[in-house]
Amino acid sequence: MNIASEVIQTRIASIWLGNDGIIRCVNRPDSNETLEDAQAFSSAVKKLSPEKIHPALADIRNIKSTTREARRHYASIAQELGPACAILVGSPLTSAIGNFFLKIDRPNIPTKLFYTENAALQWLGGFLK
Amino acid sequence: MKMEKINQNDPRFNRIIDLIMNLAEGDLESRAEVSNKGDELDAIITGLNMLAEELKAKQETEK
Repeated sequence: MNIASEVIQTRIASIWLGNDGIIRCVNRPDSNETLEDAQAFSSAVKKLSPEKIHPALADIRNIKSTTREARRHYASIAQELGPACAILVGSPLTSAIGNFFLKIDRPNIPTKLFYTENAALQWLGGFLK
Repeated sequence: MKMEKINQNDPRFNRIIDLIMNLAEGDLESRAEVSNKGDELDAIITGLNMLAEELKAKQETEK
């Protein structure tokens, strides 16, 4: 892994800052995400990136569900965490979750779904300072 | 993304129909279980579950 920070482990994910200046969040298999999990993610990102300059790659390919409260938390707090977020999906299920988040919860920073990590990283590179 | 042929005997079809019926009857607490397949049927179940959450939240806001 391309790691420039400690790896923070939450109940459902591993979160770290990469050498390329991009924050990664990778969910564990069959994660059912709650508001508490979303808050743990926010705290981890604030710790890794207090200056809020690092875009984030959220790899949700292993996620099974996420609650409305968790999605709303992400959508409302996104601007406090970084300049942009790429969501990596890999199945019809995770694509549905990602699309629902984009269209219904409407995050307040540029956010886009991707099926490949390379494409996601390329897009996020445009938000690096 | 690879599309697999859906088995029409898949028990999730019944779960989807039950969930739609429950929501239509106003039971906004109703949810259906997602399998470990992550396929199109799980995407539909997830979409319905999230729709139910949104409707429930709107209902509570309007009270």
